[in-house]
Amino acid sequence: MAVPPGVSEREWADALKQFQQALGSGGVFTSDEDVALYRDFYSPLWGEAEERVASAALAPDTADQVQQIVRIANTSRIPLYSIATGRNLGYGGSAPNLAGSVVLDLKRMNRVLEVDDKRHFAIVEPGVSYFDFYRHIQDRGLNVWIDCPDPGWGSVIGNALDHGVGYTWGAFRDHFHSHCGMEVVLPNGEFLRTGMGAVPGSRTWAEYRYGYGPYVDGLFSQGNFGVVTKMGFWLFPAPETYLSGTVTVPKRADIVPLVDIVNYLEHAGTIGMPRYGSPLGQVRDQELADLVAQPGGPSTDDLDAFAARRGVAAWECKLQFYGGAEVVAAQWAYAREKLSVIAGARFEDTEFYRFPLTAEQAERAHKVALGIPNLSIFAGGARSELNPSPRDGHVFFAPVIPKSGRAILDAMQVFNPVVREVGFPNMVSFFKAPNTWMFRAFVFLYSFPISRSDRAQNRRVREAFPRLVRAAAERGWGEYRTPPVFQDLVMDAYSFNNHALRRFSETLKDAVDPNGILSAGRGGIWPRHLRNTRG
Amino acid sequence: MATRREFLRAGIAASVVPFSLSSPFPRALSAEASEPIAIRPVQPDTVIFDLRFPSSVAFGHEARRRGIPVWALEDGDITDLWYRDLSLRWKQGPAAIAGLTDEPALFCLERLAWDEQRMRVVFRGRHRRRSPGRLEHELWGPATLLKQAPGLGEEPAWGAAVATLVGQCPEDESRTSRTLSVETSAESAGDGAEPLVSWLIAPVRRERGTV
Ligand SMILES: Cc1cc2nc3c(=O)[nH]c(=O)nc-3n(C[C@H](O)[C@H](O)[C@H](O)COP(=O)(O)OP(=O)(O)OC[C@H]3O[C@@H](n4cnc5c(N)ncnc54)[C@H](O)[C@@H]3O)c2cc1C
Repeated sequence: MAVPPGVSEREWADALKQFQQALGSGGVFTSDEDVALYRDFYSPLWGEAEERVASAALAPDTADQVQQIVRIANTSRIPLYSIATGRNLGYGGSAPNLAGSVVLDLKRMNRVLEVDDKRHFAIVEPGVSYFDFYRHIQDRGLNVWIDCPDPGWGSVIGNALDHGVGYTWGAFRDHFHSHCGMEVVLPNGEFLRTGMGAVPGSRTWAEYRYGYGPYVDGLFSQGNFGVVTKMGFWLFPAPETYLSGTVTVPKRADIVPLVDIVNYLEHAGTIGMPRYGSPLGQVRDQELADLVAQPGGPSTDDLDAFAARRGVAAWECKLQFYGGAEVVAAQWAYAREKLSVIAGARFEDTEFYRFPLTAEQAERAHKVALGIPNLSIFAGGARSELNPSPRDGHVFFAPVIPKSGRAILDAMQVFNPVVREVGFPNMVSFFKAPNTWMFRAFVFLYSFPISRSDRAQNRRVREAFPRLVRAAAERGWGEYRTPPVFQDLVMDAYSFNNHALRRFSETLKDAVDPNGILSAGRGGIWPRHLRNTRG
Repeated sequence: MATRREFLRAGIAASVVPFSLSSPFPRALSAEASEPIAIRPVQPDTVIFDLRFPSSVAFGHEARRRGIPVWALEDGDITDLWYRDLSLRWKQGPAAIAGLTDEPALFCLERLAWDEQRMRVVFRGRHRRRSPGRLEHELWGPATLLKQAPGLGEEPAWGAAVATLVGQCPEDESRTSRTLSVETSAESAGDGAEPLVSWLIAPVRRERGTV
């Protein structure tokens, strides 16, 4: 059995006894086989001495038990690492930043406490998965939608706390932004309620975010300032219909006006999440391959000439509308009119659904765009050069770039040479579309394959990251999430005024969590006693 | 090829005859298998297979022949299996499941079984084509079971043989691993290059010192 860092075997044995008293039977896991299930299965350090592996796991069932655990840990100086469902694959899974931490596994706390489908909010516990949440709403016939990420098995709270994202309407698919009110156990074991929740007997906890005084909720995201035990979320009133339409534009440079107009439509509340792609990038053809293989990449003129000859559009964007049937039809007509200023723009009606869906529609639809959780993202993907055998997973490089066409073209210029040089030539693309999960920025996501059997490949990924992060930072871009092994690196790039942001967070950390027991190192914020060594 | 619905109907309609020591071994296994195992085998509630892979279908057929309810995945996606079946069943208590699937399906099921009922994978076989004509089975499970593991045969018959083997997996025993290599005829490549995994997920007795 492993012992957490900074405590003796006797202290650990004493603490374990207390944890067992607090949790009763079945809530404390110390055997190697059990604890192994908290490893990060997508770790780029898999099987190496530096892999961050937990020493034990604790699974409370109630907020009171969380409070007891935190008090014991604070007294005994046991490092804890909170997870909700712990399925943060690609960004660290359920493994801690500090090896030997005790995982505080909250997935047994899986109660949906309230859903109001007239005022459109819910209050949930951390173990509530998107599947649980969806079932709760469906079983009761409630008139609200959830917004979920690709994997539906994650936690509504865990995903939001790591700034996770989904697929529907702008106000809902930024999951942290759509939260309203929290209950938190602080490192000293005290309960805190934020926003209107601070008013005893509050009737508007999940309706008005700010309450009175400083708005502190952001501190608990990506978090090492407290353990979140409840959280409110605003929900999407179930729309009557869904319509999607696709616009294509002929030339490479058309991405600039295309994004400008789509931004206008989205920020003005006309469309939900837009989805960009490149039909040209789908063409498998030797002539195009030769153009792309030219030193320095293809010229815009060559690409445009090729696209014109083949009658293939350079870019496309799928627009999604939610609402009454007449409303979405009018919005699509309006969008077409706005986008028609781009010479050669073409339009195609893609899908129309009136809810509830038929079984056949539900099977065919892009489920997450309709708030239906699923796990299909893990299936079906045949192996490819980007997804080699064995399919052991990937880590995401997730830079946030401006929401403009120019930035998309820039991002390819910036990252293509780096990914080629660091040994991933198959990831070079001149047709890469941005990820549009965020409401007000693009993510330019790369998935680097990791291996549980090939350490050299993982080393290459680890070597690639600093170069990518630096290349982004030189452009004024930073990453929004990253696995623990890269969190210091990413935080280093947020360096304005001699790292004022990190220093401020560290000052708060020292004040709020002086023993440094909560999620040490998460987000590059280390407690004082580990600050120099970074764990 | 059978549709998923047919399999489901067949699985649910069949009376549940648990894997048992007295069940006749399928032909692929009978020549090589030695004495049956004395310890009580784990009884899977459902067997899961993937219609894309002939060996996996053979696994499902063998389980169904033995009266075990089966669930067929069409494209490896476990969403329906999880949402309509396992998530509800595992709310009531632990229930063992077995299967022959691709790795991503097992990856998801292994985590869900642990999260929901603290069940673990107690038998795992990795079956992959090493080079044309060469099939490798890498098995991990109870030592007594692996001692009895036969050559497993060619594609897709090995799927049925593995179903029988998994059906004999004893409860709670120390695990070990063994690798078996089989030369297959050149034309039998129905499963494609995708590595498959056979597995049994079951409740485990917790070690001393763990509650
Ligand atoms: C193929 C694939 C597709 C993906 N697609 C998406 C996607 O579309 N959108 C997306 O957002 N992500 C995506 N992800 C990333 C990830 O799987 C999800 O974000 C997932 O929901 C995160 O895991 P979780 O919900 O279990 O959160 P957890 O792992 O439980 O939590 C995440 C982190 O938040 C903190 N935390 C959690 N709970 C608490 C608490 N109660 N108190 C304090 N701190 C806490 C911890 O630091 C924890 O590590 C994808 C991953 C893969 C592999």
